[in-house]
Amino acid sequence: MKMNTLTVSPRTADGKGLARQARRAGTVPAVLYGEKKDSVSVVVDLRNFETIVHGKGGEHSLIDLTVEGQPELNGPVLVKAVQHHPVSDKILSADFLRIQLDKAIQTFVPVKLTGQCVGLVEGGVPDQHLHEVEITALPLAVPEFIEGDITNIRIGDTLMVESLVVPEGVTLLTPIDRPVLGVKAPRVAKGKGGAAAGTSAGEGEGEE
Amino acid sequence: MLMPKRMKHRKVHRGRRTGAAKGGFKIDFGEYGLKAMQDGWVTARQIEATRIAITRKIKRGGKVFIRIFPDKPITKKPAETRMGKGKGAPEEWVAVVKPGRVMFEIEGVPEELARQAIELARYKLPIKSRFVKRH
Repeated sequence: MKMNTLTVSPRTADGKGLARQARRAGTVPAVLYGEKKDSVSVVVDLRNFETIVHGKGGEHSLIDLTVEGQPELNGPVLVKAVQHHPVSDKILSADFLRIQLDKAIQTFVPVKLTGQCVGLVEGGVPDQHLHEVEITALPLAVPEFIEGDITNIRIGDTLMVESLVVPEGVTLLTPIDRPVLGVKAPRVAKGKGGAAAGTSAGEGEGEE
Repeated sequence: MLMPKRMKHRKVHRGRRTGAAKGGFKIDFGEYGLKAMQDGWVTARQIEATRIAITRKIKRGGKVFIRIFPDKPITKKPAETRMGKGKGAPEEWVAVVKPGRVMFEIEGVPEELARQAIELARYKLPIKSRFVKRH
């Protein structure tokens, strides 16, 4: 995974009032912790942080963090958690976990399904159970996604975690017997309801 | 239509709806969703109408998840009845929705089709809502 760069400023005072002030000023209150060092409260520019979080690494991106005025705190971090507002979905706060580039980390990586699924071409309905899997790997070996080939998945078949293509140096922590994607047979409308596709009655074809 | 199989009390108070949703505000099952921007009561009929609107639009391609359940009985007095003489009879079931609640989710369809389905579904609901995507 590509390492992003981000500059944060130390936050001198805590509390919800000051956190709200920071949000009004276009920044996000965040906390930096881990590696048996003291936690540090920081603020990060919302725009810059959003470009990272909404980018390829997602909400578990790797960042080379620079703390303004405190170079001893600089170093690689993992975005451990991002809190969103329930209504507006704006980023409310973030957690940065200090990491060492030569020590394996545990993180979540999205699952990317590739290929033209036979079951879907035949009219099956996809049912994805897992959107991301937990892995452990060295920070720079963490892939942007884990691929799963769904080409040969027919109706009634299931792609399991064990079938995912895991790059070298990456260990899956998600149990391998968990389903990632199943393709189900399409439900057929009961009785005559199937023929009356354009009629105004909603009840007859509600069986979907 | 959705309704509870059994209930502890036939009639309940109206209650208050303050603040935002405390849970169910993330997309957990599908890829796209319909999020409430206001609070309100969504009746079982409205949930069913919304579900039908979505499934008709996406046809048999995807899967629809309903994340709200109408478990609150609403009573109504008969027409032309004088006030008093006790609370009316249970008439319908509603789901109490607070801002932020993801009410419906869709999976297995392209984003453009999901947007169109959600747009149609929004007309069936009594509250403001918007299309949301998985983070």
